[in-house]
Amino acid sequence: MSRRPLRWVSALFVIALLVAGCGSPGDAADSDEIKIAVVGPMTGDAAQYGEDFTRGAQLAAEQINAAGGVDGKQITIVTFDDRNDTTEAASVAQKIATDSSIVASMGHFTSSTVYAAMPIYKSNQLPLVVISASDPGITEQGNEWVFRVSPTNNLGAEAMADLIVNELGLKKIAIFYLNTDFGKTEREFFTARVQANGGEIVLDEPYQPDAKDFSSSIIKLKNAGADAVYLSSYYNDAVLLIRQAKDAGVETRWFTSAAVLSPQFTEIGGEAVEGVITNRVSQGDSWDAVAEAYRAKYNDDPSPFVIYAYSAVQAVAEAARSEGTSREAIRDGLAKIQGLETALGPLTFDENRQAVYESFDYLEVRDGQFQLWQP
Amino acid sequence: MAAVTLPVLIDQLVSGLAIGGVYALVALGFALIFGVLRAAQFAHGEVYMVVAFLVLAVLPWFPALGALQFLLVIVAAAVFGAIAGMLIERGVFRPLADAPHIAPIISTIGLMILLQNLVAYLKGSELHRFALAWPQGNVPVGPASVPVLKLVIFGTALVIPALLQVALARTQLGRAIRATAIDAETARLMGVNTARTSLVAFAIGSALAGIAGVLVGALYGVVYSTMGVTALVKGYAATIIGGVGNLVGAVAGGLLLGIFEVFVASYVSPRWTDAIVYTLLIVLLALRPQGLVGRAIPEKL
Repeated sequence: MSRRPLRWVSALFVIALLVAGCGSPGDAADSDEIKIAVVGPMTGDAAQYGEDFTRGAQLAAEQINAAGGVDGKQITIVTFDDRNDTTEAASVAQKIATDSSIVASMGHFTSSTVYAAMPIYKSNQLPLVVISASDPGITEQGNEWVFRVSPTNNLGAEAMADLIVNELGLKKIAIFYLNTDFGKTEREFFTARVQANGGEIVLDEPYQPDAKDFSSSIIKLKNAGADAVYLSSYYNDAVLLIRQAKDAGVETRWFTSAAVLSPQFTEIGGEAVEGVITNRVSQGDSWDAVAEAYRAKYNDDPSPFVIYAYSAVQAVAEAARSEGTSREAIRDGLAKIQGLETALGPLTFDENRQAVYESFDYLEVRDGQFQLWQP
Repeated sequence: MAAVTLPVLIDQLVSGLAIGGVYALVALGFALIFGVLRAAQFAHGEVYMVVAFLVLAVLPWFPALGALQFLLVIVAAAVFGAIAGMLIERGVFRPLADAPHIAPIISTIGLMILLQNLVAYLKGSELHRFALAWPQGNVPVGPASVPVLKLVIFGTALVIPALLQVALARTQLGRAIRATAIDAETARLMGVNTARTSLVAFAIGSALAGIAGVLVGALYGVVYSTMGVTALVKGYAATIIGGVGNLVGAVAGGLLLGIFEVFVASYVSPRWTDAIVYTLLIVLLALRPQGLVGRAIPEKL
């Protein structure tokens, strides 16, 4: 007697699950909105980057919608938190991919999280636009659902190796790198280019993602006789390393990966990070225009990740305009993009669905800000 | 890698002693609380973190006058830590005094999660800059040149346990704490106010955690909401190395752990430090569960 209600509840529950689980793919195309998922670290150490993603995407959506949307359809941004964790990235990707109202996803901050999530986008046939992860391998896997608007780290690292060794004539170089996909690949490209240019790596030091104490590495640096140090790091590790090295009396010149570009870098680093040099892809007038709108809205300078996120939304909008708003149409539309005017300047995807980049700007921290710098 | 020379070794040793000193303070507080209450305080690392944030908040009011500022920071940390400790004893441990031993463990784990998330919610989970005006620069030690800050941290981590040791040996309250730690039931029969004793032990133990929190903030130059997790793990490891419930052992264990970490990072790789340290810890637990310097005592940890 008492079992029957339970059985009914179970049955209802199963039915509810089935209904929730399988929307027909046709839903999205008929809808009057284009829903894009923005996924990244919305909480935790790297939450700043997640906020950059969200703000950049929102700003682009607002401006496109204000100009009439995509053939009358409005762009909607929904955010998801992968906590910068590979396990979480995979399960969030699954959640996004099974929501049939979402027609494109963008983000996952690190290369490790993108690698964890990529196969899920592919098996669910949802296009992913990568906007920060910089391991070149991501777009060399033949995964036709994955596009990238941000540059690969070999480009920035190789440009930096040319600057340090060829232009500045600094030959003895120490490198610190984050022991992750991002750090390891960047180190590989940087090291190879330094050696090709006739420089020497005098210290090659990995560190763990949660490292806060760099004492032993800094003692090695103190005794390595390096003319320059290159950091394959995010801003929080880079700040701690530079600060602790300066406290320990290390005198050298500091160069970093573009991944440190964040107002937090100069805020936490203070006087310790003055003179640190990094690079980023060259920015044109369209970049400045978006930066202006961003400042007006948030009263803050945008990081490059804001611009990448903004451009990714522009690319998805263009794809929807040219091919239609189903997941597959957007994928096809993205693949066809050639010379599209975006916040990044003209955007073209190569045959691996990687945005093409050619020139770099150098930035130096001066008076607590990243400022353009000429070698 | 640079050649192993005496200056390099001294430099590494001082680094190990500085971070080891921080572990020692955490471990000492943990051991003191465990000794008296016979229960693990899993939110001990969060006391360390919360105090570091509280001190950061009041820092602008302290005169940036070198050693005076440093002294005020240490005192403030001890006071905040003691208050936090007493609140936790009254709020989390006392009501569960007669409950099964697992109960306070669960409730401190709950407190740990609550405090971490509360701070992350109020202050954000990013790094917060923690800069003191003193000490800065380097001093020569033999043929090496080492940061004054590290020497001061190590010094603080030696002086405070020494003072505590004297207090425990010489004062009435100290005797009461030791008596309670040895056998709470008998101590109570002998007229020791064990309720007050456990409150005091909690206050002192948490004050030590607070001091460790600001020292590590000064050492790294930042504080952040999850910093307590590492502190708890390392402090716990140091307690095990030294022998649970053994105060001198806790300090020795902390210093050994710090030195060992720096040497593994220097001569093996920073990549392997934690793996090697914890492997050895498991081996140690299997071979000498009473710790390197301890005698076996009945446990409920």
